[in-house]
Amino acid sequence: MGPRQPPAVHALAHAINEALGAVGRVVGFFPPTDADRQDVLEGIRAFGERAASARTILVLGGNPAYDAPADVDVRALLQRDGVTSIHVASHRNETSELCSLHVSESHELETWGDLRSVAGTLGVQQPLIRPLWGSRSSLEILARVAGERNWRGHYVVRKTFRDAFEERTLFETTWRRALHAGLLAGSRSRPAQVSVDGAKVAAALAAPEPGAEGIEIQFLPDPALYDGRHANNLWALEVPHPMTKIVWDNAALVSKATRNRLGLRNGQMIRISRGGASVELPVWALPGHADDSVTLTLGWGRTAAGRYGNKQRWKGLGPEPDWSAGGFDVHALRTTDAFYFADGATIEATGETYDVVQTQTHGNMEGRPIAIDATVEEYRDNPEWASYETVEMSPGPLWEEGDYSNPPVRPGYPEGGVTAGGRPRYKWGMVIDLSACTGCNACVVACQSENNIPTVGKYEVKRGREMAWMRIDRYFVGESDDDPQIAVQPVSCQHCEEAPCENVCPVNATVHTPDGLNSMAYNRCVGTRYCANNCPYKVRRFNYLDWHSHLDEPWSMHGSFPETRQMVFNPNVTVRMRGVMEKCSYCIQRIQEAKFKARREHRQLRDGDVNVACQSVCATGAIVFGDLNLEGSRASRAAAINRRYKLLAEVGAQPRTTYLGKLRNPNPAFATAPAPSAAEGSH
Amino acid sequence: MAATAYIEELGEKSLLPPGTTFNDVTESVARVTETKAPRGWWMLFLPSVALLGVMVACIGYLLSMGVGVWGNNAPNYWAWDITNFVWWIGIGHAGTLISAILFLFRQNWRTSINRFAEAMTVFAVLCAGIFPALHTGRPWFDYYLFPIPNQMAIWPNFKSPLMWDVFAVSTYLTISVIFWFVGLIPDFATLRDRSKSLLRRRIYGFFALGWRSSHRHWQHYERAYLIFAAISTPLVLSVHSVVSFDFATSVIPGWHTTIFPPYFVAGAVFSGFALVLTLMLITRTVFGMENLITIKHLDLMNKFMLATGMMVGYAYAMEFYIAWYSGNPYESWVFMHNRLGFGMLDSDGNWGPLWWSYWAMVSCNVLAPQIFWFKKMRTNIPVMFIVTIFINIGMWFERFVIIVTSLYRDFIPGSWGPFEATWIDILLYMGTFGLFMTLFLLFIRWIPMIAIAEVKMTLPHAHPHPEDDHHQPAAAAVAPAE
Repeated sequence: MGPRQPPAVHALAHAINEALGAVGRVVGFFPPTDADRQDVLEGIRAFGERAASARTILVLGGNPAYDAPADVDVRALLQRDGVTSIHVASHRNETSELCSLHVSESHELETWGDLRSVAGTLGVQQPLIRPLWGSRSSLEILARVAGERNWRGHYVVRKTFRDAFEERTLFETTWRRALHAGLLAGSRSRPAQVSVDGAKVAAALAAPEPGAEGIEIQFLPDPALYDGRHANNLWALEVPHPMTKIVWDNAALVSKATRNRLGLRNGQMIRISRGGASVELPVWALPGHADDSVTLTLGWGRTAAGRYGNKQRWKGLGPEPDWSAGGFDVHALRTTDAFYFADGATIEATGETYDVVQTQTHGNMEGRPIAIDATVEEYRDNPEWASYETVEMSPGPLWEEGDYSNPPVRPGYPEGGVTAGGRPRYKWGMVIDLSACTGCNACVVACQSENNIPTVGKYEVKRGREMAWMRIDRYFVGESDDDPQIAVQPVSCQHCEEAPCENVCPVNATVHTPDGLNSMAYNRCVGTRYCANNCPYKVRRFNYLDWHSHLDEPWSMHGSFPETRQMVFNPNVTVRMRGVMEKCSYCIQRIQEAKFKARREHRQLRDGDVNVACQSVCATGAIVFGDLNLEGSRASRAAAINRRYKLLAEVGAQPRTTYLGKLRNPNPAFATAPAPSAAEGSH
Repeated sequence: MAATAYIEELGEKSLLPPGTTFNDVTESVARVTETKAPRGWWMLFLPSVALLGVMVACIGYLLSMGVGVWGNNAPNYWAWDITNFVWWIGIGHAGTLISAILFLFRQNWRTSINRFAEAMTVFAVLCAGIFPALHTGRPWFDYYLFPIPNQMAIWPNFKSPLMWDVFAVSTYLTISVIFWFVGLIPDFATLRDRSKSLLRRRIYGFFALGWRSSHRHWQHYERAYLIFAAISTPLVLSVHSVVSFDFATSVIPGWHTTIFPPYFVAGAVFSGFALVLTLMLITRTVFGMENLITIKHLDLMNKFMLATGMMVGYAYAMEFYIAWYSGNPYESWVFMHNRLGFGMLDSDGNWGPLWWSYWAMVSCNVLAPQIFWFKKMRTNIPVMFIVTIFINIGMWFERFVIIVTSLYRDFIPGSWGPFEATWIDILLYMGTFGLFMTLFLLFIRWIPMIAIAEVKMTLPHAHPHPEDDHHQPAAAAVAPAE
């Protein structure tokens, strides 16, 4: 239950948890660690009052000039005559522009700090790199303001720990252990014993606040930009919204019924007005959204985010049209009394349209067995239902295949098989569990970061040139647009054993490695794109233009990059030039690294030695990678689960990646769940 | 060359008006290269050169920026580039068909148009070659596609149909150029002999390769021509079959079809005849060639287009049958939705993209030629001009339909995506017309555009015993002309 919900809803949730017997087993209650912390909204109001008479305003981080509620006019407060305002932040933003001074703050990865988890565990934040630009962390700045003589982050953090730690004599050992572990063992608070006063909950629920007329607005942090702090991050801008698949913009999400009732079409600009304030942004129908409600995401429409995050019109180059991106700032509607929800809003069309761009434009599986799902009952009836929908083909070989199972033994070359009759060569494979996948996009961004995948900008995404090697397809499943189920499916190269892409490449630029990877030889690729045409999964990505130059500065096309920009790249992965095809490599650089390490240690690879990027960030463990030839490895066990199926197995490409069908466990008391075979929605 | 004899009993008549002399033929053809170009020629030539400039500019822009200046995207990795390639290659087919196959079948009416058609073949293949050469992401490495021994010890992938394309198209171009040139030798000699300036004599003399019209020359020449015709004939079938393999061997629904080779060949001949006719009608008017390219020729060509148009119509229908009969849901989706456009209104009431291209193709290729069932229409020049234009457009759409409407909605609905052409796509395609027309206009200005020697052989007085003609079977009447 998120902090956005009103107390009555929280109380109800606690009551439900108690009724389920979850308290103490799944749910625990801990005393607040910052007992003196004010309510956020109270804090904002207090700031407004006190700043009205202050002479110096120090803003530590954040960006109140952009994201403060509309009824606290931070912009005016910061610009008041006679006020010295100081902004400490890692990036120049809207607030910095209004303040008299901007002090550059170190990035999180450059700073020392201390943290406390919800359960009270103390943690030590350690820098990964010296500050690149000689900046100071906010802790250090506070220490200096407070007059500390020794204000370095390391010292300040250590001192805090030492003061909190009673036994001074053993402190050094404890500190070092905490540094090593990242947290102080045993510092967790004891769960508090609480109980729900059922009567009060019932009373609160019995008298719900009457909703006002009109449309209800709900404000949500953006899934990628959060509150706008990541607005200048290209990865965040170009990662599609998990549900709408919109990139580079936000839109006002409404239900289809509401949109149709208002006589609107997707992409039409609307004006949302409430209490004298209004914002304009494009409307977008999201199947399953609540009626008479509009969801606005925060963090967009920045004006001083930086080169990429700013809301701006981009000048097209040559024959390419101009286009705008960067989304719409909705903070004008957000006040302290309507911080998470606001009701009584009105919507009207402005008559304009806006180019909203999605990475996926078709959200219906059209009855095809793509992201296969079933209810628990259906699964019990037929545990192997997923593979029944697809056909595994095993045509006889046309010619004698090379026998890779028992390669010649070479000293010091463990993957060749150490002993006669040793286990066969590696057979890398991935298993993706659709039941576990939440569609959060972490794998998409991790892959982008690991593999030096460029971003291409809104206009090029519109033209279908996005480069992400891993994409998450999102389908609406079910009979109606009002209450659809969602199926999400991460798709990257399936590393087919009979890869259709390999046969058609005229120059042998995409070939099979003995351990079963479908590999790209970038410097051999001439870019006929035939492989991508012939890929049934459409996972190949082509560098249509030189994505590593600035399109608006074509003269810098082959110029040298500043060192900080070079540091963005993973040195183990080739940066691809224009005209070259690329795709998921199963993180071959990580496989090689693990192999080298194993070789140095004179051993074979063990399960878990190779962690590919998408797998390593998956919060739910939906992605498993490993050696399918290694008995008992996580990957080989996962690939044998009865929910397994191969995507488009009927094409006969024999993909290495296995999917595990999605299980749903709908409560029969709620709306009826769709039969998995009825994947045809009307979207 | 096959001198011939028309069989009056079968209703055959002389193709040329009675009384046409050898000199008339030489004069009317050679005159074009010897006098000042008519105004009509300049009116066509200058815009063509301008268009050629557009093409060069587009190529410059393409090379400096990358293939991204086109509309190609994911999933439409090929679009106008390969469409234009297949279209131009198809255009070239009429030339080979007319010069080789019709030659072997003793179709003498071909003599008035074969030079034309052969020239078109060569120029069309040159235009076609531009697209595969430039459609690659890194055209400066295109030489990787040729089996050149190299320090990396990597051969091209001989399993790839694109590789086969390289061989098929380069063979086709080579043979077409040689065949064209061999046919030109006696005519170059005629021009050389008529030359009044030294320069002209030197240049035409160089290309005439010392031709003296001796018996021995003619004997070798006729033999060589026959051999080249025999070599070219399978190429008519092979080139477009190989081009169709690019699609037929893939796994993409809409591409993976065994009917493609004959379907592509028929379509190629169809479009080739259409463009030959379009250009011939213009040239005939501009240079006053009505006596050599008669309405009889045009009538025969229209019959050819009617026949090949029906063949492609049959192929279109058969694709639907197979899509249904195979029970392959992906295949039937491609035909019913992507092409016919059923269910293309999405839930928001918007029209889906590209369904109209299929209907443009069917109307132009199947419906338009039906008008040629009527002789009145087959002999009506404005009508046939319009129909040939329709066919040219329709055949372009056929390739576009095959390539883009198969790719843009294939297996996985999540990766479906529309295609939109850019200005560079359009201008580059238009620009290749500039190249084609420039070469073509230079050809008709400086090279005998009609095979003088061959046309003469069809005249009645080319035969030593014209009065005996009707006693001999036509096929037996193969005798050297002089």
